Amino acid sequence: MVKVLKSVLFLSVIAIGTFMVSCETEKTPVVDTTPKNGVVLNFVGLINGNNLASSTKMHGKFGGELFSVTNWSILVSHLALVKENGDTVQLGDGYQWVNFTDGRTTFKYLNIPEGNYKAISFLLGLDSLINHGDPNKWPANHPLNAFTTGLHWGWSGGYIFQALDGNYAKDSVTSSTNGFSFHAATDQMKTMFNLPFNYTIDKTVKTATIECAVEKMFESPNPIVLKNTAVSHSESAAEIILMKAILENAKNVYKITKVQ
Amino acid sequence: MKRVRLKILCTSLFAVVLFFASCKKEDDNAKYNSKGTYIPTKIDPFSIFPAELGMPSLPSDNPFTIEGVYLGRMLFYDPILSYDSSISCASCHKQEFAFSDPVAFSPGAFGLKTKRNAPPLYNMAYSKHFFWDGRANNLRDLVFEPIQAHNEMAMTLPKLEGKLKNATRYIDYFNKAFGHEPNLVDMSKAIEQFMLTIVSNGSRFNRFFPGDSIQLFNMSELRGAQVFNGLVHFDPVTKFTPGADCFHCHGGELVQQQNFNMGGLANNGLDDVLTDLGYGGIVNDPKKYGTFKAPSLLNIALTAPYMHDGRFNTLDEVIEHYSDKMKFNSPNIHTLISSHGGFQLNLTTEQKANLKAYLMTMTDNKLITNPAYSNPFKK
Repeated sequence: MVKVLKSVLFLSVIAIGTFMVSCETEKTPVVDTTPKNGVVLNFVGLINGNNLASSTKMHGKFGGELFSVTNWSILVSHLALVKENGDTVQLGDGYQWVNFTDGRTTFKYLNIPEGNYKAISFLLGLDSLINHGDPNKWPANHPLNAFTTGLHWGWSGGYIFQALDGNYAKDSVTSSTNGFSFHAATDQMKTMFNLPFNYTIDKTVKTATIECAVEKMFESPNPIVLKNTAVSHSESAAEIILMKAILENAKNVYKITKVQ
Repeated sequence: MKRVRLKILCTSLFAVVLFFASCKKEDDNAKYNSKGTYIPTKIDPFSIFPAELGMPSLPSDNPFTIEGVYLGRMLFYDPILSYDSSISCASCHKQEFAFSDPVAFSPGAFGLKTKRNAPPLYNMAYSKHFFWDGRANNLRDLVFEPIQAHNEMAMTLPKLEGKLKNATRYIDYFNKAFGHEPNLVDMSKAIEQFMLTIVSNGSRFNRFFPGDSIQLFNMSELRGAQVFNGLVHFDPVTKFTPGADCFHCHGGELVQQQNFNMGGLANNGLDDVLTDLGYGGIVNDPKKYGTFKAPSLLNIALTAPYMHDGRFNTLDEVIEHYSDKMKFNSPNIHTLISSHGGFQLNLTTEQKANLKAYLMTMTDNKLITNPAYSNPFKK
C-alpha cells in the first residue's frame, strides 16, 4: 500500500513539475533597441523661407505675383543613398509619400551599411509597371495605397507623382484669387533627383535636413506666370509642356542644408 | 528490476501525455475555454472586404467576431439608445436608402431635427474622417455624438449604460461578444464592428471600373463617364468643355477622394455668404470655413436630398449647380473649381443627361437588400 502511495506521489510530482516547466510563459527576450547605422530624412516644406504647412498668408513669387499653397504632395521611388563609387543603397522599399501640407515629412531608416555616401537620390514618380499596376494591392498606409494618399487617377493613367495646388491673386489691388492646380502624372513625367550629401554612416543616426522651397517651382529656368497658365494635369500637349517646365524648375527646389 | 523499468516507462509516458495535453492550444472552434468563458468566433477580414478595394487599416483592438458584429447590428437598430426609446441609428440611416434619410433634416427625439442631412453609411472602413465636417476620426467615438446630441437621441451616457445593463436581451450578447456585462465602451466597439462591415461594391459601376469593361455600359453611360472623368478644358472660342472634372473629389472605386488635401474636403461653391462653417468651424481655421467632406457618389440615386443641408432634391439640381450655378466668390472655394477662371461649365443638355446616366450606374442593390445589414429584430 505504501509502495502504491509512493508511486502515486512520485508520478504526481513528476506530472506537476512537467506541467509547470512546459507551460512557463516565455520570457520576453531583451532586445537592443538602440538605433544605429541610420539616417533621418527631414523634408522641410518652405514658401519664401516660411514653414509651408503653417503659413496662412499670400507670398510674393517670381514676377511679382502673390500666391499661396493649399496642397503639395510628392510620390517618390528608388529613394536611396549614393555611395562614393556610385552604387546605391535603397532606403526601405524605396517608396515614399511626402505630404508637405500635412507634415508627413520625416522618415527614419536604420541598418544602412557603414561607409561614406555622397548623395541622396530619388525618382519623382514610379516605374511604369508599378504606375499602372493595381493600386489596391498595397497595404493600407503604404505610400502607394491609393486610398491613403489620394494620389491615384483611379483609371489607367496611374498615379499622380506631384500634386501642387493653391491660389494666386488676380491682381495686386483686390484680395480676389483664382486657383492653380499642377498635377504631374503619366510615365513621361518621371524625374530623377540627386542631392549632394557628404555623409558617413556609422553606429549613430543623424538627420539630413532637405529644404524644399516651393516658390522655386515657378522660377528658373522656366518662369511660370500663374495668371497665364494656372492648370496642368499632364494631359493635353500644352499641359505636358507646361508640366515638364515645372519639373525642370523643380531641380532647384530640393537642397540638403545640414546634417547633424 | 522489471517493475522499476515499467514504473519509469509509465511515468515518462504519463509526463509526455500531460505535457501535450497541458500545452495544447485551445481549439479555435470551441465556444468555451477551460475556465468556462465563452470564446467569440472570429471573422476573417478578407471575407468582408473585396479584393478590388483592398484591405483597409482596421482597429487592432477590436477584431471582428460573429457575436460582436451581430451585437453591433442589434444596437444600430435598437431605439434603446435614445432618451425616450424612440430613435435608433437606423431611424436616420435607412438601409433602403443606402443608410441615408430621404429628408433634408431628420427628426430626432422630442420632435427636434438634425442640423445637417444624414449621410449614407458604407465603406467606412476606408475612411479616416466622419460626419460632413470630418470631426470624428473613428467610428467608436462617432457613435457617442448622435446618442448625446439633444436634437438626435438626446441620451445621457449614465442613463444609457443603465438601460443596457437592465435590458435582458443584451446581457448574454455582451457576455458572448466581450466577456462582460453591458458597458458603453463595448457598446461603441460593437457598433464600430458592424458599421465597418458595411461594404458597397456591387454596383454596375464597380464592375465597369476601371473602365476596361465598356460592354457593361450603354452609349449614354459611357459618354457620361467621359464627362465625369474628363478635365475641364474650355474651347477658347465657344467655351465648351468636354469634361466636368468630377473625379478629383469623387474619384476612384469608392467614388470619393479620401485625402482632404486632394479634394476630399472642399467648398463646392454653394453660397456667396457662408451659413455653415463646416470643417473650418471644427479646426477654427478661417481658410477652411465652408468646407465639407466630399461624399462618395456610390448609391447617389438612393441618397437624395443632396449636399450637407439637403438643399437639392434631385440629381438634376445637383448637376445644374455644378454646371451653371457655381458661386465663384464663395469664400475658400476649392482651387480645382476656382482654377476654371470664373467660367461656368455650361454643360449641354446631352452632357447633363449622360452624366446622370453614369451616376445611375452606381447603385448597389446588394447593399440595400443584404440581410447581414438588415434589422435583426424583424424576422
